[in-house]
Amino acid sequence: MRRLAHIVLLWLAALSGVWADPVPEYHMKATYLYNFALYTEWPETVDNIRLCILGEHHFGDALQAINGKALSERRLEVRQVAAQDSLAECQMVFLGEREARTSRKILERISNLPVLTVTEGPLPLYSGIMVSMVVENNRLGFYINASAARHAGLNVSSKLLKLARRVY
Amino acid sequence: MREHLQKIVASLLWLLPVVAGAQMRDLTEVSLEDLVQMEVVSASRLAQQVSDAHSAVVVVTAQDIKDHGYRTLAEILASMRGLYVSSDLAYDYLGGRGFGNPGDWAGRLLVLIDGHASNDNLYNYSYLNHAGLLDVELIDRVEYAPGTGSVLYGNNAYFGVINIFTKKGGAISATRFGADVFEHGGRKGSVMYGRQLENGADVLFSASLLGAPGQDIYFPEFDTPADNHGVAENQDKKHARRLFGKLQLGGWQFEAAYAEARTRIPNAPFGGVFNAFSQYWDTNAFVNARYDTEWRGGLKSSTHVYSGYYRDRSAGVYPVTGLWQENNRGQWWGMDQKLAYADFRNHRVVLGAEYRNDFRMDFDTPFAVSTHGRRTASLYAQDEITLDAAWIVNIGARYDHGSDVGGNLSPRVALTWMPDPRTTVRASYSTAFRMPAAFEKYYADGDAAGAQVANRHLGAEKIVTTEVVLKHHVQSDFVVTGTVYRYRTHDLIATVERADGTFQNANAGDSRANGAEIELEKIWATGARLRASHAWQGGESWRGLSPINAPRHLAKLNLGVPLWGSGARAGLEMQYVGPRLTTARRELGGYTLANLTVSADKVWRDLDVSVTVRNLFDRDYHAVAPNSLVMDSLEMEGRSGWVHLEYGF
Repeated sequence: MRRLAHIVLLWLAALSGVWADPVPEYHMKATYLYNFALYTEWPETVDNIRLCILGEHHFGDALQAINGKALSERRLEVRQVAAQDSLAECQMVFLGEREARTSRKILERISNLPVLTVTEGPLPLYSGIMVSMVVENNRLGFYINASAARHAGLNVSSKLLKLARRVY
Repeated sequence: MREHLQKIVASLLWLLPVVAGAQMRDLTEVSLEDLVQMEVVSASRLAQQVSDAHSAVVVVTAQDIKDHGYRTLAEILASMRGLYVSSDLAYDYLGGRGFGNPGDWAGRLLVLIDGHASNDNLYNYSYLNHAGLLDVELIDRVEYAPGTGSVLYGNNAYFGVINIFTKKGGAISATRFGADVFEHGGRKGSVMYGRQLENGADVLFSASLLGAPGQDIYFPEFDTPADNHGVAENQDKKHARRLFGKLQLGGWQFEAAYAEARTRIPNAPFGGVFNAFSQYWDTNAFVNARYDTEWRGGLKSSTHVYSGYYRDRSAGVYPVTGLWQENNRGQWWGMDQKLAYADFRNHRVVLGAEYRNDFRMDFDTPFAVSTHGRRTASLYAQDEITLDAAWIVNIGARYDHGSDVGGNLSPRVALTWMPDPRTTVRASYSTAFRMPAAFEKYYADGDAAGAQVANRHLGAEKIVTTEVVLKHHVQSDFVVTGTVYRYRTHDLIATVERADGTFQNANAGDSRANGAEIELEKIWATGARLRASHAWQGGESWRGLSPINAPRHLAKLNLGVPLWGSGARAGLEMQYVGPRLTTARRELGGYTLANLTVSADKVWRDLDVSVTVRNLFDRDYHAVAPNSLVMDSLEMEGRSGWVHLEYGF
């Protein structure tokens, strides 16, 4: 049994060299949110870009890295909001996979406002959500529902459309 | 032994800050063009489980399968909280929650492959070893929901539901060739093709061949000159082949699978001649189609049409009858229609109906040829009511009617309380029933002492479970789960000896089980993953005695960490199984197994390599043998190795 403990000590050695290149999924997703804000043309009247995170999510402390970041003349502000809160102050709304499936009413409420909606996982097309981040082959990609964005009066840059895995 | 395991867990825990301390660079400085090329570590295990179950679901992902070099569903399940697997060298049997007698779980555990019930319709068995329907390389995740799943799934969802989700073709985006070498000269070759086509169709296809030449095994129970001094020479050969295909397009999904395994048995079950031919030959196959759609107004519909096939061609040499050959066949088709509506105020309603026709349940043995069938019609409904932000009530019921066993209603109610966003407490009360398997009810292989006779009056068995589950997210990537449960079964189906010495399956009596489980799961930003659990279980069998093969304590530890290089990982697994009783009520000592896997991706071009050593310290341990064997316990494999190579184009 002592041998087991030895093996565990060997793991220490393995663990000390643990800095690995891959980026944790939610750190990457937070960075993408920053990039989506950066490559969307916002109405001139908008001061700062408020990113509202709706309900349950798995970002942990990953959002701290993008909160307050500069977007040319604007700044990105991250807020945690609940379903009953007003979303009128939000320029972007992120809904986790579960919320995206269950928040029909919320999405209907903001579908005619210039709010960029972002989710994760396979994009539920009927939901009208504009961007979805998807892990495929250990890379983070994203899908864009361009018609939903246009319908809301938002212009996503050609750069986003070019890098998207799929555009609807 | 448990003390040691605790020490190990403790020493691992102080390592955690080392892993967690790695720093993050500022990714907002990196261009989006570069970001889309960078590798990410998926946190999927801690993401919301897919199974809609009011129980403490355990999830094993493709990453865990890779980290720990699992080759079979049995190995995946053995890593899960509260479960353990025992083998009789032919099949693997699952135990847990107070039930462990080899064979107990045969028809009491439902295995779903992408939502399709894959159990055969003669034994209602789900094949967990090399005879199973899927190659593990195809698996994206396996979820185990302990407890009854009767509302949505009906028959066989009795002790638990295992949900296997296969990968998407688009996630593979390659043709991959696999080559494996394992203990006693075993080999496996496989090819897998996955792609998302231009038109949006997602395609996945795979084929594999497995062969093991066998070895000489010594069984002291047969050590006489007449029985080759107890040595079974190459009597454990194995051959298996599998095919799998899946196509997804729009709301449509088509899936088909075929698996055929020939397994030689070295330990002369059912009084067979030792060191002579004895073989199980199982063929399982299914095809199914599913169409999911959402109508305007938020009504969702899921239509599932399926058909399955099973053939059992077991054969063996016996002292009196000589070569005994069976040719048993099962065939079925069915259709399930679900409707879900979430737009009522505070209600999420699911309604469904299923019809299943087991039109062939045929036994063909040298003693008797008989044909049987069963038509099952089911109706079910479930409503999830959100009372306020903190309370959810879930009520549901299912009614099933089997043409040869009658009807049964299974209600369920669960109350969920979320005092804060990171904590969930669930209390549930549920009932389920299980129709006797065709084998239990109709099979007969003789009328002399020792033979099994049919029981046409055999009815369904029932279970009532109560469980309280606590789940707390200490951090978003650190979860603690605790559960306390109580199971009561009624009219349990068990084999009993009759006055004339023959055996028969009967609704023998009631049994009970109680237990508690705790589990910690954590993922670090560096990609290290830890899962540790302890399960305690106790109970009483239908005979009023301590149950057979039900260890009071089970502990697991699974740790996967990235190694120095970027692509390499190591996985350490430890499993403790406490003392348990054999069929002859002898106590078998507890044991701790350690398994170690080192895997590296893209060692050369797109070549992935993985090496696993199972039973690292060559621990000598025994499994409880089923009734069909002369011996009371079976010595299990010592240290053994497995090498897996995979190349992608």
